[in-house]
Amino acid sequence: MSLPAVWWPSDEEFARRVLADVRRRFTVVTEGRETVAAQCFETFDWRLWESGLVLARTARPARWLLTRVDDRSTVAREMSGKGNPRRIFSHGFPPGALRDRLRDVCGIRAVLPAGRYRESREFFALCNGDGKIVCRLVLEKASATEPRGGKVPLSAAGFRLTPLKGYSREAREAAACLAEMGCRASGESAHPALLAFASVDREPCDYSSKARVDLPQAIAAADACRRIHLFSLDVAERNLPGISEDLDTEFLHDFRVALRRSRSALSLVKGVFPPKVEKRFGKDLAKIQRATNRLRDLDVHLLEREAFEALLPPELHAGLEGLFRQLAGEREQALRRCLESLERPATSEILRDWRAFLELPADSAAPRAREPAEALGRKLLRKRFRRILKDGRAIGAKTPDAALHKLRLQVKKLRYLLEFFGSLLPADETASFVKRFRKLQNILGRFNDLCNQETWVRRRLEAAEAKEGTSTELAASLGGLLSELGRARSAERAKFGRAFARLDDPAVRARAKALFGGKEGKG
Amino acid sequence: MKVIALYNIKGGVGKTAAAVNLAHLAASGGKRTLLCDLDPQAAATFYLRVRAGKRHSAKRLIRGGGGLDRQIRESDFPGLHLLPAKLGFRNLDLKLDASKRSRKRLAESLRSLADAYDLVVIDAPPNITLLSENVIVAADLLLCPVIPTTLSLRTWDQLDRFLRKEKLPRDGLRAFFSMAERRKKLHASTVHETLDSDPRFFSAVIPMSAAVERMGPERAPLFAYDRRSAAARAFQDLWTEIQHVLF
Repeated sequence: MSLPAVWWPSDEEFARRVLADVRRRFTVVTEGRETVAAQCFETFDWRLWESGLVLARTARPARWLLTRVDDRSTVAREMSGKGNPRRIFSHGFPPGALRDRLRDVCGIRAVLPAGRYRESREFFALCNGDGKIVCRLVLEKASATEPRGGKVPLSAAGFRLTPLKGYSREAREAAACLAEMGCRASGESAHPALLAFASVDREPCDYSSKARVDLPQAIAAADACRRIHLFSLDVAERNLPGISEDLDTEFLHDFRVALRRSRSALSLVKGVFPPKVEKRFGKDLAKIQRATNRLRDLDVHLLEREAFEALLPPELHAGLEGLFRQLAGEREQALRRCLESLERPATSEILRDWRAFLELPADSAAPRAREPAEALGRKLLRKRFRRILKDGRAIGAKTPDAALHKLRLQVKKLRYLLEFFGSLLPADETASFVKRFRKLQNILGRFNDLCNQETWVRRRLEAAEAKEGTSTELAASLGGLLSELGRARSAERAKFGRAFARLDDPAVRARAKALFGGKEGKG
Repeated sequence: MKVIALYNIKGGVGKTAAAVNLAHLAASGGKRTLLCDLDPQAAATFYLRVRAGKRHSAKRLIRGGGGLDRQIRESDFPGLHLLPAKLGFRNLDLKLDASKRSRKRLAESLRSLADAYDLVVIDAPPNITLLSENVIVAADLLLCPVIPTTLSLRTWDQLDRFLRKEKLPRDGLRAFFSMAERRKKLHASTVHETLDSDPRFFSAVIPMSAAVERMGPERAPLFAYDRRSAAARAFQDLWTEIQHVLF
């Protein structure tokens, strides 16, 4: 018979009473204790936890520990410096296994302090009359600590009982003793990092920028849209502090995606809200987003540094050095302007009014407010898909680039509609439909990025040439980039035909028909 | 799974102390180790503070499998398990005699534990019996502690001759000096001459030591209370040599 390994008393004081009772029945030898104090770090969107990992920095010895959530085994460790960083990017860690793993998991997101915990373990041996150990008992205690070391009222204490082979009767006696005292048997103990997260009001996976709003099947269009918008508004507002503190670029990115999602919903799903509301917030949200454009552009260009360097031979890297230094300077200024705008009372007023409207009980004044969301969603998706097929078929080798950009926007709108109404459609079929789309979407996205990069580099080059005293190094680097980007853009465009054909295919059209209904796809 | 058997025809040569300490060293080095106490005097069992189960018997020992596994006790030291001895083991010979393939029964019984252990250390009783033959057949390393005296060396020769006569495997036969007293000239010269002439002797020499004698009152392996004595260092050296031969 196997015994439960972990027993939970309610708190430490209770644990001490249990231990006193165990001492009455067994000779108990204290074998030692160990204490670990650690500060947890996690990305805002829980990338480590979602990969089954916890990153913590222990105080003594000062080191980084990357452990698995399930069995708490060590994945990587590294000496840590002192200081109290408010954020660390993977490239800020010393070279080694830890940095490599963090780069793979966290990407461009910084890890942020996420609470502290202290864990102590006291080891006891339970002996028989011969002084022979018959089982071991470990009192495990974990508590969250405030940054200054004080305890916050979050803690857990439990006994881990380990029988010794050949002494199962004695282990059963010890287990019975714990049970009699009111300890509760449980499976494995929870990771103490959970206490640390809770102490800073976080809970694993409490944030994700991925829009998946689960709508009930019979929901009316206006209610569905309210939920969709509220989700986006939550995401936008939760990213504001990270933008203010300039923790990493993804706060602004997620903020903008959330705004754009709402703006798309307002323009794609017309007639569910009163026209006045649709008009006002369409305009206001665009205004907020506009104030962030410059900062986001600079973020994107700064993030392109590695990719640009990869495009150029090493002798042309020197020119980029100055360019990126200059960009970093420009970004400082753009950040200040963006924050000024976001922190203006007008901005918070827009968001407050928008929330107030969304949280109001649904009114049915608008023409499509009461339509079932499912039927409306299918209709809009059908229309969009038909449009994509029509526009895509018109694109040939000589069609201007602008047509591809337009098609990209159509595809993006279809993706947003799928995000909004996806939960009302059959999951498996929707997923396989989305899969067919992804390739085309990626090609169009990449093509667009390359066009934008090219335009930007060309402008920089023109500006550099117009200005006296520009280094030839910079001009050479930009010139080199321009030709490489042009080549990459043509290569991407060449992939379009095949990717579109994968979509404009009888099987996909049939699947779309089954999903969205109607006669679409014959186009 | 490898098997080391501590064996000498003569008693009182430091056999049990060596078995317990080598098994403890193996376990501390990460090897899942079973110390198998076959001596009815049960000294190794006593050192580890274990009592044999009521149902433990010579019959179970010979049968192996789950019934034998249930008699194994985990020691206080991580990775070290013990199969305790029982007074009933004095009849092992009779039980073995009555069974088929009587020389191989112990080897077969131990094989049933091969998945659970990396190493078995046998503390064998001092005599020449059918049980001894079983131990010799089962062992990958038949390790003979020898006191550096004429009488003790004579029993080492006797053992060698016995193996030859009975056509028992001799490849794994090795020895080491035990309970050596540095101040005795005879001991010193015997050690010196034998190490020069007989390559089957390990070069580590275990000295006569008060620290080893304390294993009785401490009821623990030497390393649990003493790591620095000459004896502790000698056991460590011996274990290093054994590992080179065995693994």
